[in-house]
Amino acid sequence: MTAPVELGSQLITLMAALMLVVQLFMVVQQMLLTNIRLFAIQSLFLAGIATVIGYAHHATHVYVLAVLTLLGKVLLLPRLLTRLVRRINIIQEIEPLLNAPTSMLLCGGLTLLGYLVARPFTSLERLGNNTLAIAMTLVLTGFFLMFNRRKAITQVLALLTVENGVMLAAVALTTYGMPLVVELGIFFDVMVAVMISGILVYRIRESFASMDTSKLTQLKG
Amino acid sequence: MKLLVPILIAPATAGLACLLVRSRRVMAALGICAFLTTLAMGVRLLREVLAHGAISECYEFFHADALSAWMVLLISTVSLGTSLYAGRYFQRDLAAKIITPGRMREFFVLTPFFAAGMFLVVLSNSLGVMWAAVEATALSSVLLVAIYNRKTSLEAAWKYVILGSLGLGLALLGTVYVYAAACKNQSERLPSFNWSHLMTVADQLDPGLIKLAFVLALVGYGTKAGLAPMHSWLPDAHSEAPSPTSAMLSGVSLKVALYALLRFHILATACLDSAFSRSLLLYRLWAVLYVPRSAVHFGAAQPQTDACLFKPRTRGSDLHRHCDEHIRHHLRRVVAHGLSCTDEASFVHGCRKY
Repeated sequence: MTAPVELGSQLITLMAALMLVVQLFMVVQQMLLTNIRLFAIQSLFLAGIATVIGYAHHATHVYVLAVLTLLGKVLLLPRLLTRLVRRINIIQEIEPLLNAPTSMLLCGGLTLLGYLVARPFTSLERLGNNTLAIAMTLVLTGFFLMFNRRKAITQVLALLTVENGVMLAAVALTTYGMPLVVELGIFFDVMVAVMISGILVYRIRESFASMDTSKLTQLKG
Repeated sequence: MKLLVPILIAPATAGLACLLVRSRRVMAALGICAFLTTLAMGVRLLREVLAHGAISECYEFFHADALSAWMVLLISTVSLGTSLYAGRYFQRDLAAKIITPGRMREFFVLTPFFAAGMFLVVLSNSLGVMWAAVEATALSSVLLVAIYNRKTSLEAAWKYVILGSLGLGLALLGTVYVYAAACKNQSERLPSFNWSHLMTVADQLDPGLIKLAFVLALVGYGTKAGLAPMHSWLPDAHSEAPSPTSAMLSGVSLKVALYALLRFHILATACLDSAFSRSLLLYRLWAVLYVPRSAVHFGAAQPQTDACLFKPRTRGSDLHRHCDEHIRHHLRRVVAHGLSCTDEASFVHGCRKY
């Protein structure tokens, strides 16, 4: 391995590990706005990883991915969500179902599970160590965040962290990430998904005077 | 002459045009025109494909074989059926003040886009674009489910968007794994992600990754297709949506998700031995049989899921020759179900009237 690739690989491992750390912070963090900021930081690391890969391989379209992540997930989406939170004037506290120590323990277990699942595939990773394991862990803890939170906006955040995990898997397993047209499709879908959920959150807030999804219990599907 | 691109453009144009007009009659007529066009194109496409085999357009970006042509026909027919009576349906709702004119327009704008998304799913060649299109259909139908703005319809829409997106997140992970399997042997060039290309190199793909990808796609697209046990959004969303949307969701949208799953199944069968994905689909059939709750709740949903699962069960091993007699038989059943959904919805409409 040449020196820049070696350095890039170490940088990627570092940033992927930081993504996991931020995810664990999100699990125990009780304030809604802080959670949104943590998500922005996590996406910033994802953009950083994409930049390093683009630099190491001289691949322009990974730079495009990095810029899109930076604009969309670091700047635009957190701003939109923050505005939504301020506008509907909700109480800041998240009120999780499980308390912080229990959630932390469970997420530790999920991390182990993620590493176990990813172990047969570590030989396929292109750059960095254990990035695939971290990606799997992000997906699993994203699911955990989803059911541990009652407020509609926090469920949207959980969905976004799952998506971050999938994108990390995409850059960890393939040399250059997915083809550009697919990346663009995914990016716009995520944007639209968040906007639509925003519209729904707003309407739910208007009709139920709350955005606690545990009050959505009239239908028994 | 190009066939595939106009099928996508026709409904998208109708959707955009509905943004500009105000009259309900004109909007309904635009929808009908668009779906008549796609139906005619679909018939031509089917004849073309049956005569000359699979066709592709735009540097293989779009690709249609017999299965896609059949799905195009189904989507056009059901959409045409629903758009034929949507105008009168909303006339009643407007008169009863259940719905505002703004929301009604939302329906006429979003429905053609919903259909265009489904056409893109069945016509796109790249598995990644297919995923993006499935997600787009989910997103365009969420607002249709919430159109009455009742408490219950908001609840249904929320379940639909969260469970649907979560499931599709897993399907995306599966798609990523397929791409990684295709990347494995090529270190330099960006490999093609086209379905037609992947099928030619299926035996060189990494079997472990393809297995993982199929499981993820089964859970992911299975959620969107309403396979038990990830079906809990389905009865709510279908019953809270306005009848024309309900018919489209149940008549075609579920089938389109199954179509995506079927593509993964065909690929997995070509890469691994046939038993793997077939036995998983069989297990899912088992799961369906053990969850009768939803069948009680919403009669139409579950038998149709059953019907869709019979297909892989009966013909799992040689499914990749997807023109054989059993598949045809099944696809006829799919169409019969799609059409009966349209009928049921118009029947419900009739009942409300008298």
